[in-house]
Amino acid sequence: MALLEIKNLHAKIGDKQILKGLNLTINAGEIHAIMGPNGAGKSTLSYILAGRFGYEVTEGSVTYDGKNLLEMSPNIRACEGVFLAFQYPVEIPGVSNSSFLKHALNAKRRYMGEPELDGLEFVKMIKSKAKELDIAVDMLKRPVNVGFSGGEKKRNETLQMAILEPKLAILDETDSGLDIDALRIVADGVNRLHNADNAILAITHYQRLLDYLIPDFVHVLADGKIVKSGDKSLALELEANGYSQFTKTAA
Amino acid sequence: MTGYIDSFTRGFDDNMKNLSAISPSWLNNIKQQGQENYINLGMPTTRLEQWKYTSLKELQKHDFCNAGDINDYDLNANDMPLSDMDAYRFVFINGKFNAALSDMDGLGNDMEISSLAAAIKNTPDRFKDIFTDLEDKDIGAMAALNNACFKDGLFMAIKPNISLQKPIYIISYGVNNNDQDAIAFHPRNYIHMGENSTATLLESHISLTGVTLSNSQSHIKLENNAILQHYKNQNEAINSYHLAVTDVILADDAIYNNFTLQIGGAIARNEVNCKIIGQNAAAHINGACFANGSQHIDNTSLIEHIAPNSKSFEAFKIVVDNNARCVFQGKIKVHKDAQKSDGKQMSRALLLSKRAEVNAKPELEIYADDVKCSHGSTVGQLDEMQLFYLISRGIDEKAARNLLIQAFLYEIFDKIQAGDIKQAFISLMAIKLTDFTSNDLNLFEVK
Repeated sequence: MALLEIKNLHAKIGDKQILKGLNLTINAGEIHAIMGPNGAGKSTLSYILAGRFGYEVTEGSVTYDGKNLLEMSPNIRACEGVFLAFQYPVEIPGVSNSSFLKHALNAKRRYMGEPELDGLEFVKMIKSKAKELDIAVDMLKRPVNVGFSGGEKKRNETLQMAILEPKLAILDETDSGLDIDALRIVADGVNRLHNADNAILAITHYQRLLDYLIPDFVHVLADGKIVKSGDKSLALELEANGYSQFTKTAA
Repeated sequence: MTGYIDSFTRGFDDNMKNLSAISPSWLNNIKQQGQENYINLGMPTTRLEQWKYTSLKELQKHDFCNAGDINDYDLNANDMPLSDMDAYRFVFINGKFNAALSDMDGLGNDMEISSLAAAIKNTPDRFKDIFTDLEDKDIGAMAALNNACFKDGLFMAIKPNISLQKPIYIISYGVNNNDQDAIAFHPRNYIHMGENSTATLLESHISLTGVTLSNSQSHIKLENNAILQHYKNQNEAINSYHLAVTDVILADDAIYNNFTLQIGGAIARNEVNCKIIGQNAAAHINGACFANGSQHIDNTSLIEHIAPNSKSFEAFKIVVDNNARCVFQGKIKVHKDAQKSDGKQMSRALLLSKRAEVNAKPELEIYADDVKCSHGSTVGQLDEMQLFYLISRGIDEKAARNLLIQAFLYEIFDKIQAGDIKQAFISLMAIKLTDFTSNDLNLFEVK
């Protein structure tokens, strides 16, 4: 059984049709990359999978781990193992990073029927995870993403991923706003979390991220549909030739 | 005049009969004058600028009686609000001091502290002067009603150079045993801080059963270099009415730090008026409030800089849910001679529901030409992306909203300098926040 199966997905925001019959199958253990021009619907796809309100699915289905993903509220999706690493992680003044992470982890543990971690257990756990990902302990005490550099924000997303241990991690343009070193650190972190039981869907404009996060499959998303799929060499081809062959003006 | 029969004026005859037997004649005169003033003024209406956003019309639906004395009420000290606070406790039931429930163990002779009724009885002449001074004031109707009807309150005079280590803690209970439609009581407090003295005053206002109105007046005077921390927790039941006025006078170098938490009451108005008559004094008027259901919570303040070189700081955080409404009126008035005054005022409100309302009226009135004054006021709602971010990590929507509301509020509690009181107020707010029910604000709607 596929971990994620998207069939003929149509979706709109307001009156604007964004996805127009998207098909995609992801199995556990795989890394998929979706590339495509601006406005093709890449971020829309990630938001629909994570359950952001305001996006209306008009046709098609999304099956995740054998269940209808679209019927789950966004927090249940997270508890079931779907994780969206935001392109622009949100700043939340007044909520400390560690208390945010604790709320998130305990919500998931409650959902799974596991006992919540107490303060001490949690601190121990979070500190060891932070160390693995080379994250300063100071970042845990600060308000969520407030005053973080672009690199710190993305590392913080990786830390959340490490703590929540998702089955399906969607990386929405994780490379945006990162220099080469930060990109490598984040990609290393994601690679470390990747295993045979989970899958990664990386959404990106550029091939660069894929030097560090080697995809099993690369898809081209243009005008609301997957128009071409291939292996990692497709990313290199796109880098060389651009997306114009897939856009309307070129056709 | 108004077309309805005011239940307060109807009680006046009995009131006088009861009082004249025990009170000194000057006090009876004050009460008589209070009655006349109240009858002339009538209950405040929204036609008065000061009451523009807070209507007391709802009070007319009730037949208020003056609260009878309840001398032995079955209350356990552990059930009292903030019961683990290490403080000298003064319990008032329906405005009347209750010695049995109070705890003054260890209070020294460095101060005079007692029920106001007892203090007047013991030294009537002294109070004749105090009251006569206040009498000339151009008072409002509710203050006049308090003059007419008050029975008791806290009297506290701290001698110069004395620092009180433990807070003085007033607990006011409103108890209507339901044999009356509604009861009213009118607490009256006098606080005098001698030169170089310091103290912390804490208040909790609770109502237990039935409809009650607490209409209080507090008079506070800080002599040179005195410091008073004044913290108030207004957590009455949602069928109760709470109207409170605190008048503060600050002499040279005095510091008054007020923080009011308002989470209770059907209609609740807390009014703080500071007159800074000394130089280099500082008044801090801060607060947090949360109103839900159909609550109406009002924070009104007036800070008058009368002498030069003094400072005032004011900050309020306001959260409104459901059909509730909050009012913030804050006025800084800088008199002609109050040069180099420094006044800062800020109110921030968060609306959780489409039907929630906040009325913010910041005012600066400046007659001096060399001052630094600022004010700001914001009204907003929860941020959709912040909410989605939290929810996308598995936190349910209600908990996510709750986290964001606490995040909005939390910094205001830093204004409370006493650590244990700060924590206690944060906890009270957290309990109130678990009540909130609003799901009607569709933040995720795409516009």
